[in-house]
Amino acid sequence: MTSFGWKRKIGATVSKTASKVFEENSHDDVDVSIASGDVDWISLVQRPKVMRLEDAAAKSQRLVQEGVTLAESERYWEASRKWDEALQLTPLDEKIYEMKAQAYMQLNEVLPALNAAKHAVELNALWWTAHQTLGRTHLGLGEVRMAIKCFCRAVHLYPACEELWEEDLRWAVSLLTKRTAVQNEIRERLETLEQPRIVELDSDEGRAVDVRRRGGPPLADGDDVSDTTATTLNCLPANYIVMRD
Amino acid sequence: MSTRKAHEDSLWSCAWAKNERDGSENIVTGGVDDLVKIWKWTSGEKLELRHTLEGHQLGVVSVDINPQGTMAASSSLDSHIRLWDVEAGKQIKTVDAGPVDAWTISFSPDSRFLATGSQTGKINLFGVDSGKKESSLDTRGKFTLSIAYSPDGKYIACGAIDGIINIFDMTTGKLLHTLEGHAMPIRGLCFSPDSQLLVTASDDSHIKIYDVQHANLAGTLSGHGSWVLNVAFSPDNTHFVSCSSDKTVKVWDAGSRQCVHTFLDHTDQVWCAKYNSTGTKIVSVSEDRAVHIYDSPA
Repeated sequence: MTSFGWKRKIGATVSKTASKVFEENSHDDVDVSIASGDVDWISLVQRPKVMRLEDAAAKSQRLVQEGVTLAESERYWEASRKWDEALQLTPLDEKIYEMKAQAYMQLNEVLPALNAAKHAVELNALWWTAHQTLGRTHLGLGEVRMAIKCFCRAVHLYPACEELWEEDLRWAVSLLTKRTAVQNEIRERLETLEQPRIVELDSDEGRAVDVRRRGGPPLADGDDVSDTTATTLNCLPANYIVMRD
Repeated sequence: MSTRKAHEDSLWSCAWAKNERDGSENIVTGGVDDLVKIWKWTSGEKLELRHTLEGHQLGVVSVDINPQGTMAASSSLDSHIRLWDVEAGKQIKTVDAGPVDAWTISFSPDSRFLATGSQTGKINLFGVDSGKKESSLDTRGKFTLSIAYSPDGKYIACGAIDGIINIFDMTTGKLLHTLEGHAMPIRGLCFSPDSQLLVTASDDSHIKIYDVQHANLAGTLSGHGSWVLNVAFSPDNTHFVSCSSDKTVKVWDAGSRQCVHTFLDHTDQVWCAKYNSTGTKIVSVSEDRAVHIYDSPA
């Protein structure tokens, strides 16, 4: 039994003449001028066939403009996508982040809006508009005190803007004062309502107090009072924002 | 020497004066957190918190101490000016300046008046004792961001948001000079102790020195990489300090117009820097919530 195997030399099947021609053709023909370094390489380099019409900054600017046009026709998601593309080219442009924050606010995307606005402030802490937008996104989240701080910073940087004073700072402050007023009122009411009174259980007054303890209309026997409060809480709209301070 | 977290939030303004009555060195600071704090610079070279003064409803834009070092004043975005007793830490008076009629404040050298700029470009002078507006000077310009009394009490200089500087003669109450050296907001200006020079700081990142009497430009100093936020002259009449949003505090020689030293201690915009009464120390406050105290160079 003879074993079968391939025992051929590499290149044995290539014709000698063909390989010789190939070798000659592929041989580096070293030019004397190249070897000595006298060649102007820039003129030798092949020109790209397509010329780039705009650089990164110009392209980013065009994308921003497209985004602005989209945002003006209230197509905020598409606008934000355009601005994302622009940010790929110019990642340090705080104006794009600020515009994104505004678009997100229009879409009620409060957290992305906050993040974008924060980024804008980080990139340029001296730009009052970024602080103003950050304040507005805080308001969107119900963080009134944080919003007031942001508006304060914005006003401090640029006090000549009437709108910033009136529509942002004063309005946020008025929200806060309103809230404290309402809270005080509620506290007072609770205090007067929940003061324990000791009355004779068997007396007429005793029964009356038991039924009217929540200050509402007299309830029928067996009605659970806590149920009504639970239903009112369930009725809150889905996008309801609880104001904090 | 520094206090890293002097306030809960960014600091915008500071003042340093020696109390003539008990000889204590007091530093007043104010910032975004609505508080005014009075610190004592002890003989052991330490900063001790003396009083925390509550009352303002919004951020404190500017603070000043009268030359006697007994009374501090603060102005806030809630458009109130409050006067405080430095020793007792009590409020003496509160003045409602009306909407946006209080920005940077400055005590007159005789402590009788408080000058402040306003939205319409008017300079209002409030009586310290009366707590009322005593008179006003009209620049007919834009929002007045910065204001300074000359130490001899003869002039008031104010800088507007559009870069225009006006100098008033206080003996006649007339506008003396209008300087148009900067094209961007003037956030700080100060007179030299002999009232001969006026130094201005602007968002164009330059500092300019003017001769007050003839309104000649004596020099333009560059060196800051961003907005120059404030300037203050040293009592030695030759040096002044500037602070900037490039996070640095620079000390300059007014004669040679060279930067003598740069302090790089802050990590955010430095809003205000002042000398102490003898010119040996400098205090600076910044967006990074820190108060720094330096030995003044040279």
